Amino acid sequence: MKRTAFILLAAMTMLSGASQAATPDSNAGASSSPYCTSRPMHAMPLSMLPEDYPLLSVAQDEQGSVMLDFLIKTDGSITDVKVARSSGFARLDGAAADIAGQRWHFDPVVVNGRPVSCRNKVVVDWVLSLSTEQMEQAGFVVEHMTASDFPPGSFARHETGQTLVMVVTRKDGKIQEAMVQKSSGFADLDQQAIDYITHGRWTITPAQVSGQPVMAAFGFVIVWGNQD
Amino acid sequence: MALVIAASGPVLAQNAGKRNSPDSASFEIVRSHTDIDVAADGSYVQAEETAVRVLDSRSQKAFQQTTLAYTEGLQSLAVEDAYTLKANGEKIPVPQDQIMKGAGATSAPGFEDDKTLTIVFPRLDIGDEVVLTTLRKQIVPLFTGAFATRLDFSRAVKTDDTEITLTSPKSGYPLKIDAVGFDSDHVADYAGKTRRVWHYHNDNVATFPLDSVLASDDQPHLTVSSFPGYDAVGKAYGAHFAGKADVTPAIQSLADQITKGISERRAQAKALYDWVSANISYVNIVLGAGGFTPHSAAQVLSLHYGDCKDHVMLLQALLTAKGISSNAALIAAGGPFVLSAVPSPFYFNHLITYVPEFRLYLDSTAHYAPFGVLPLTDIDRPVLLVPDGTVSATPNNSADQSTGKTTLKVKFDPDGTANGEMQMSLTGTAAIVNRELIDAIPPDREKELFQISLGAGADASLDRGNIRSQSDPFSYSVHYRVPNVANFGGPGAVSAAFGVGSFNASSLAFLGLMPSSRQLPYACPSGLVSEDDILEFPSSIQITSLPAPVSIAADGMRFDMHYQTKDPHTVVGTIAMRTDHPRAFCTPEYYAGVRADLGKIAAALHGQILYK
Repeated sequence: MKRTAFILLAAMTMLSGASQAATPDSNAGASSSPYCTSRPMHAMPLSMLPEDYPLLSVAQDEQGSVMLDFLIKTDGSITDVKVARSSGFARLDGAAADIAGQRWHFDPVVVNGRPVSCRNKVVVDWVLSLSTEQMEQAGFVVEHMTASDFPPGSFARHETGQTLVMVVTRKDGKIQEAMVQKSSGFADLDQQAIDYITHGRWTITPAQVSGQPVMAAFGFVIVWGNQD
Repeated sequence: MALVIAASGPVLAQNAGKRNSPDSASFEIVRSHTDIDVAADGSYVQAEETAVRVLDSRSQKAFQQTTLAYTEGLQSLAVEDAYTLKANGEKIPVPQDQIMKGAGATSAPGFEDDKTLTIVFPRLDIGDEVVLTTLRKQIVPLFTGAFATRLDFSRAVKTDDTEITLTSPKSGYPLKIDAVGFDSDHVADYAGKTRRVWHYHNDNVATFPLDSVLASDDQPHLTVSSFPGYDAVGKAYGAHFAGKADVTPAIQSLADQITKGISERRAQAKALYDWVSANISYVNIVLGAGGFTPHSAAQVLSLHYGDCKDHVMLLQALLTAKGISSNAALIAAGGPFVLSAVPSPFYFNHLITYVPEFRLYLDSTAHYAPFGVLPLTDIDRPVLLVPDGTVSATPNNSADQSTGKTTLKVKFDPDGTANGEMQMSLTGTAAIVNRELIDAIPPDREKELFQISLGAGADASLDRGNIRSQSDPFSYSVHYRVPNVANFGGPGAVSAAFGVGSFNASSLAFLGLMPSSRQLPYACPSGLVSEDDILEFPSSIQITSLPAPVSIAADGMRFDMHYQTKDPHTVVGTIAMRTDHPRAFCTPEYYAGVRADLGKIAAALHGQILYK
């Protein structure tokens, strides 16, 4: 049966050089655009979803890290996505490049008051079957539920599983959106997870970058029962 | 007849199509992701995830149980994930014991590799989705070093979020690709491979008349093939067929025995064809399912059954034994009339025999087909001759190669009861079609079916005639008695084309469905249909009016109808319609030109005989 798939964005690792005039990474292909001099911000999370994991890669245990090298245009959209370091699997490399090109969007990079285009690098880790410990290490918030936390009747029905929720927070730390990314298999458990998160069961600290509040996205894993 | 196309579409939707039960509007494809990885030797791995939402009870029934076929030894097939997704988001997994492995279409010796997996989806209600993820591995390439696949979609099905990804060796592996209806493909090289991605969706659901025919490339599809041309496809099949039609002493002996006393070569070929057709049972295995390698002619002779490939190998061996050369001919039976642009072995679903000496195509699996006559599904279709790879075509019928003549006598009793006697005589393709139709009527349902056709209270008996023979003509008859057809207590009317015949109201199929307009070509077989009627009324009745004579000549068709009184109480009539089309399908433009005439013909057949 299908296993859980995770895609980690290596904490949005910014691997570019420090100088705007830095020489482009030769592995990234010919490009005359400089690398960004500061970490580019993004208004929305650079999302990768479990459904993005290529079917055959899941079936064939393909895992690995892809380093993407791309150009952020003056409007914040990205183009010219190249694989700077391969995962060793064409499917994983291609899927990462495609999704980045289609979905990722940055705040325009501004230098001396003018938006500029510059290159950036991000590592995408394709990982299958993380344990809850590994998920915690990877930056997911993992919460274990006890019998009293279950929705009425579901504990008695022996419903167990994990609900993975993607949470987007605004600059003030308030939740903008909470979406079930991976169902536990039980609608009542998933709904309870959403209710707990959106109704303030846990306090969420506003995210900051360089001391500035930012929008943020992170994964919440609600563990129902003792399944790991 | 093997009619199931070897190519595939979304696995669940394809399954529904095979069942022919839900129509296009009764389900929609929510998601269809296909991921194919091709190796240089032609083997491949394919993962497929399909989510289909059922919209009515027909599709609910059709999708509740899904059966997938594979060939053990050549392929492996595993269900990676299967569940019902309720409309409220609840996911109900398919229990392991509801994924059942079974024998394929037959478990007969020689076909043991044909397997199936059947998945039963739990608690499926209208509005729910069935979600199935499968992993299929083509362990042994069907054609060494070559790869081909075809994924078909239908404009008649609402389809969202469809993505096909194909990775193949980066170099030394050129592929021919035909992607119709898809977003432009995205190609890039990664990790030593070339990765291609296509997307498809369909929000504008289109419906077509049931008799529409499609060129192979009309509907949305993706065809990928490493074959450089159809000649290569023919040669690849030839490699599978090599040595399978060898003449053994047993085959030589049988051929001599069958043709004993027959010296004329065409008559010898006919005798051999007749023998194979009558004595080798047909096991309906789709070409490709179970592989492309036939059993040897000697094996087929020993078993006395086989699929289409096996039939062809034995007939070829018997013909060879008498010095008559022949080819295997690949054909898309019941399929498109035009070859696909990309040379693919999956275009074909059936194998027949071609005898160049007589320029004759033979389909020994068509149980009712006499020597030299092809069933409707084989007519006017492209063929690929094996092993040389020559592309040719089966001939179209002329009107005289498919005829049906009805002789109808009806005597009306004074109480309004009709006593009818209908004799039908058919030749050529029409004889094949009618033998199939009549044979399909269960004896215990004859009366019921004729009651439906003739009306309440009808009592009919069917004489099936020479249905077991292949010889022309096929003659059968129906005797019937229908009460309350006419009211002879005063002025009234009876339909001129009354009863069971070629031209009665329930048999107007030869006019086609007559939609207001057409966007696609449609099936328009050539043929000659005629009827002689004698309607005898009670002596107390006076005939006051007959249908006016009608003669209509239009492009490719002619219709004549004429009624007269033979004596004051007897009406005789003749009706004939001849259609002569250059191809077995007609264009929408042709239809637009003749539709008005078809309407006149339909109106003429509603003519009535008035009496008082």
